[in-house]
Amino acid sequence: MPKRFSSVELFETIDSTNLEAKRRANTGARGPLWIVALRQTAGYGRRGRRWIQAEGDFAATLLIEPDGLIEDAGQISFVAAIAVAEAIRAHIPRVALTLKWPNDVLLNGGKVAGILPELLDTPAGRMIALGIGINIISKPEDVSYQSARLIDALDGSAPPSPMALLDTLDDRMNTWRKVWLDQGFAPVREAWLEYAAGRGQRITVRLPGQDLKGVFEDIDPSGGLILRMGDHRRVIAAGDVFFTKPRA
Amino acid sequence: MSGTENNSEHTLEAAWIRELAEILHETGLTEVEIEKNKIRLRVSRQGGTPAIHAIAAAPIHARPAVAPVVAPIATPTADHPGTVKSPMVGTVYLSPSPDAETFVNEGDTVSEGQTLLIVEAMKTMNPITALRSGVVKSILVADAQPVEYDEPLLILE
Repeated sequence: MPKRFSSVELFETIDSTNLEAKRRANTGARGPLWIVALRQTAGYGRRGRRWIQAEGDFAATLLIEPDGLIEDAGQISFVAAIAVAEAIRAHIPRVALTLKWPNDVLLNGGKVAGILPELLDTPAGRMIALGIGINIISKPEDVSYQSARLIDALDGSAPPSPMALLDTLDDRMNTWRKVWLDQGFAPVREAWLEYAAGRGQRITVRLPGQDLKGVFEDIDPSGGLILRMGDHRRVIAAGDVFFTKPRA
Repeated sequence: MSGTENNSEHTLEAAWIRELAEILHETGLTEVEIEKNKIRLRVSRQGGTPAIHAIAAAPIHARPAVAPVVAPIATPTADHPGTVKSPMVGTVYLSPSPDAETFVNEGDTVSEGQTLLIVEAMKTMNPITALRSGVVKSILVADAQPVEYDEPLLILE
């Protein structure tokens, strides 16, 4: 049994692992604590979107105390995305994984994992509920984006179980949080860029009320996406990235 | 920059830190911030002990897409003691999901710890909560609007 850095609580069925993490934080839990669920009845993603998974997929939330300044809290997205990618690689070595800014994990271009970090204001101070969903055996079909699942990357061999993924993920999260804390965002940025999808390509960034088209040039020292549009650049802190569809 | 100026700046900073830490003790506030001569200093209380955050204004100005950060600070709105400001660059949301009711409306009475708004930065959701109870005097931002660091979001009285 590998050594875990965080406590783990496993639920057979729960409304949402992020909701349970919030309840636990509000009643004094300080983490690091993984809330793992085999089934979620009200799993959710960004802006309240439903997150649907089957039994056998990975659904968990890591409850932790924030590592840095509050204005840099969003950088946990990059830390978590790298940790998820490395955890998957540990089980399926030559898998084609990339990261879409800032924290979508893509398998052969389809979204295979979603990450939802939520800061919490608890009576005892700020906490982070880091929700992570990984499609192992199922993938949502009626969604507006391309989805993927790990089992399709295996040649008939058994996929990792959620608990096996948890052990690797716990180790990778612990490692990358430590890198971030000890050395700052620079090494996290470098590692993230190694996995970056669409760098140097034309992308569309959807902001509230407008779409920006340009070249995904880089990410800046704080994690913002640098979009080159003609002769000027814009740094984006929040928005949805779409890769321009290749011509048929 | 000459050594003398450096020294005097350091002295100034040390004096500010002491002064801000004292204010924290006296008022029971959790966070105090001051900006002067391109230097922004924030002292906040974490677990009972005051901690010092960002110092020079320069790196803050180098942050993503920062339109003038300083301008709003000088407005009367920002001077209002009940002004709630954005702790990060991002997008502000007035409701938990697009179809849901807003967290608060102007005129609402709110209690300490109640969520007022959410600021999203790099897909990280950051709830902005009321540091004390009061009445929402005005909401200064629109739903899904981009916000800058320290931009006034709402006034609580």
